[in-house]
Amino acid sequence: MPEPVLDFESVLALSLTLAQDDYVTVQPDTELLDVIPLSEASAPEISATQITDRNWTGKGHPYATFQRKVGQDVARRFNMPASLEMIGWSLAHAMGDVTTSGTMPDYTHDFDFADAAVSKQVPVSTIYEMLSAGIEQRYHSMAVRSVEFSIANLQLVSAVAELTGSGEISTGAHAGTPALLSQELLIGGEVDIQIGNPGGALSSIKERIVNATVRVSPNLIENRGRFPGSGQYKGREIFSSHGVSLTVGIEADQANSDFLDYFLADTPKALKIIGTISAARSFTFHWPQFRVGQNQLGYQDRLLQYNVTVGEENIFKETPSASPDVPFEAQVKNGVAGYLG
Amino acid sequence: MADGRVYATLAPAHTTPVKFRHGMLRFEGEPGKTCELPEADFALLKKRGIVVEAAKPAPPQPAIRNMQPEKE
Repeated sequence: MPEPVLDFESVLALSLTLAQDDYVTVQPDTELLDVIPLSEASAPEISATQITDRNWTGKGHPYATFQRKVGQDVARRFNMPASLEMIGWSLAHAMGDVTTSGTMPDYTHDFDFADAAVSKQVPVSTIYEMLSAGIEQRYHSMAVRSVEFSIANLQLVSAVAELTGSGEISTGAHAGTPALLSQELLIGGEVDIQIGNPGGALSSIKERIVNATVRVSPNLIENRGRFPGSGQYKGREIFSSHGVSLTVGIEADQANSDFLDYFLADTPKALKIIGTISAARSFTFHWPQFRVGQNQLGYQDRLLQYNVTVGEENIFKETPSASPDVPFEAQVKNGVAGYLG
Repeated sequence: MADGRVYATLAPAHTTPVKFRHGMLRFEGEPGKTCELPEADFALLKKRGIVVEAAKPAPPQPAIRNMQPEKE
């Protein structure tokens, strides 16, 4: 009798430190050894594009006219605890620019948006996944399409990363022995939020924070990933404009109307979200200058709070010639020797 | 340099080895070591505060093979 497969039997492995050298060369199994536990049972979305008679003629029936698949796509969602290791991996892929300094065991990684004037090439990695003993596959050239970090009380800091691949999949047993990656996890209670004037000192408002969400989206131009010669699959990934947004629930302070004032007066502010385990193990998200885009007042658990939203249009960015030109930057301190190697 | 390459060394602020990744571009530097970079890569790394321009490194001295005193 056939044996069914349970969700917890799956294994997903990648390389924390290494990435593909180009869009063609897949990483060998000997690099794909870091097993990442996902916090939600999910499977890859694999789809094909066929040409229908209607596509071909501009009229006609909706059935396939040619016995040829013209394109294949792979998408994968990582719903996971946002460990310091995987915050770094996600940001390295999503932002495309990382500087690592330090020596073992303490490294500092500074993340910036890749400079379009230099290169629009998106870093990509090979992902291995075993759904069952009979279904083992490698997704080629996976890029991070977006990553969203969530911070809430009584929860682990978590992340949802949406990945897209070239569409190509190879199968077969893993040639190595993947092992569970040791990760340093943070809880919502270890996260501080600081606000102040741009360029000035920032003050903590952590007692007032209810929750926060940060979304980084590289805005890949995916439909131009295919070109004559790339076959059924994407042969490249291209960064367009880099996006970042922030939502924060902040308790109102009965002594003042601070966030309402910031919104009404369109006051520029600076903000940091800092998660700290120790001096050498932390993450920082930094908006050097932004304005409150939306500020909806509401009640949660009977307490009045501001629901502040900041989108790209509210984040100040200097002209491209300015240096540094940073609407958003991130830093992670952990024990990872480097990313995108 | 006339051929579009620049000698560079890590900026003084960096006292430990640095790895830099930008899309598919890769750079690794160690304090005190000079390397040769394409101009475009150098410009980006300089903008990021990672490297500064350096003088061409001196060629290595030839090894002394004969320690015998010269004949009079």
